[in-house]
Amino acid sequence: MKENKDIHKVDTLFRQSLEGYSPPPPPGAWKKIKHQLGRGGWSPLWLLKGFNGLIAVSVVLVSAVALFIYNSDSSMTEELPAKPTTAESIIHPIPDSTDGIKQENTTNDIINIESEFPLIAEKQTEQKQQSKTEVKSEAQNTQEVSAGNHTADSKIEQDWNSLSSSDKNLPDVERNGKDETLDFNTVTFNRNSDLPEQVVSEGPEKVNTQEMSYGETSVSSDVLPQENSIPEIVSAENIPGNTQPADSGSSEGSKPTLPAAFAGSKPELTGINPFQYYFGLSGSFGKVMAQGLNPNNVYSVNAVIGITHKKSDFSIETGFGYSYFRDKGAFTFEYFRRDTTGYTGHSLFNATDSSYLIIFTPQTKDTHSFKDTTSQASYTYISIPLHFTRKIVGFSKFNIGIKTGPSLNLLITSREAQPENPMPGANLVSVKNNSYQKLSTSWQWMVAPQLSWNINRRFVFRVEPSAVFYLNNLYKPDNRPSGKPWGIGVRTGFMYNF
Amino acid sequence: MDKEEKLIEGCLAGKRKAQNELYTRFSPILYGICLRYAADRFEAQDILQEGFVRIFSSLSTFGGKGSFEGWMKRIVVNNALNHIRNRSRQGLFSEFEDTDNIPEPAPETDENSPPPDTATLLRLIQELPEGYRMVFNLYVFEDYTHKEIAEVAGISESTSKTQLMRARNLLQKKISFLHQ
Repeated sequence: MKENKDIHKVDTLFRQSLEGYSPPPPPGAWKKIKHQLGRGGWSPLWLLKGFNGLIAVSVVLVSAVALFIYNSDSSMTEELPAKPTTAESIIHPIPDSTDGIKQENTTNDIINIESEFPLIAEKQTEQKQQSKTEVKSEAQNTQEVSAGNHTADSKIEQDWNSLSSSDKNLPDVERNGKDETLDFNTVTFNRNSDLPEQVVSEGPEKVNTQEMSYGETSVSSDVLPQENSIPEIVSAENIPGNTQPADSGSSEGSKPTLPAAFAGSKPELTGINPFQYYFGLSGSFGKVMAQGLNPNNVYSVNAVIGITHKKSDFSIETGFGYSYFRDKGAFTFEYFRRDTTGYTGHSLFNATDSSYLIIFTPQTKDTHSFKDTTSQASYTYISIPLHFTRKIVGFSKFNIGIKTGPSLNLLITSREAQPENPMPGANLVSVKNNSYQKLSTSWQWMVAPQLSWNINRRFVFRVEPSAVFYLNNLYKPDNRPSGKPWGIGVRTGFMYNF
Repeated sequence: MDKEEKLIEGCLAGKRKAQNELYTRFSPILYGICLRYAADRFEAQDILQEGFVRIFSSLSTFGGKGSFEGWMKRIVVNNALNHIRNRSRQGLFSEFEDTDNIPEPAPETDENSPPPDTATLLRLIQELPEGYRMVFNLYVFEDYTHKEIAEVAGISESTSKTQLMRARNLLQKKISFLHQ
């Protein structure tokens, strides 16, 4: 039975005034409560706050630049034809009156004739002095002359006019509509599709090949490698069978080289992309471990874009991942139990009616008991990796490499462990939450041997047994395992090479 | 299913919106309790935050028997007691053990004087020594008996009675002083 309380007027005054007193809560309280509860809701704006925002924006920028580079590089590659196509007339301005070449089309001419033809003329001069020269020119299609090349034409005409009349009496240039060949004594140089970019134009195919012949040695498009098929500058002295000194007849003592259009083609080798771009999708399963922690499961899916430097077999990749940590929370329930162990009694004598009143008082024993329970918790992170891979050894279709690098993990949702009372009927005194709660930002470092199987030229299957180290721990400092967490897992997935 | 049950269910599912609604609905009354137990509003805010976190984390233990508001109030009061105990364990116990000197009764106040306003009364409670404040709150507002207070605070019943008497006298003196 509850004791009779003595009610003081001070009690009444305070009770009347303050019972049910409901002042507005402090403005920042909910925010702090929400933070303590963990991130239940995710806003994209949260990513843009503070250091996380800086990292996120940096990654987005790097990705954007990589994509831009990729796109511009692809378009450049597309401009380089894969098959021998138009070498749209490069050499044309020999007047009709002397060589009979007909100029029919007046479409765009791509070659910088101003820079090329003086050398051609010079070459012709050299050959005239040696009195051994035959110039044979073949053209598959008719030449294209644009209005913009009149200056070049006039210069060539001047060059031509400077020759003596006997010099002009060169063999007829054959134009059969297929090839255009300049025969410079010893070498035939076939200029095909892999012309440098500035000498190749889009438009109707007019000339399939352009050959420059130096005597009997001929390099044709068929024998040139398909890749890197832009030939080196061919000089007369390094051509087999050429007996002419390289600088014979040259007024400046320079080595005879192919026309500038060809010489200028060498730098175009840089246009060949040394990088390989890829897109990868993978999934992984792993365990997070630490001293004082039961291993927890972690699952993740990742989408990455990467770039590989072909020559060094070095790759760098970044992207986005989604990781799901399945944890266990621990609680200690404290119960209170009061047991009656016996009774003590005493009697009161009532003098008015001479009766006795016997009063029993129970003897009790209080017991506090504790029970530990576990329940599920889950956390989801978005991860932004920056991984570096180096191929170590390669077989026909299999490669082994090593992958390492950091990743930034940002908590997006969390479902904290909820206590589940194992003894609902008992008198619960308190519940202590022993669960480890995860950090909102986690930096990780991964090391993984990488096993790759090239299914075909495009698709690669990868398996990566990985070890993960949580650089800034994974759990909040107020309650965390005694040891630093780390993890092992297996990541596997496919990669598509662009 | 009434609105309160839906709210509880939403909170159990970890829905932030439901948690926010629960907070919005009950935080004023719970903050009022915190202010009575705390020495100032900063401490009251701490108690409120811890209390709500505890409410959300132990919501599954609420069996639906009795008042949900009463259940939350009990959690907040328990949390306030823990908070005060943890913060000033030594001082609190020494204060409780000092049961020898029973203070003189405070002078009676003028019956016709207007009572102080709520904010003033709250301030007077907050100015009480922690032990006095705890016992006064438990006895007057939570309707605990001295025996129950003794159990909760880990003191004897007589100590509880002494603390209450001192608290009353002190408050009465201060109110008298306000009226002068």
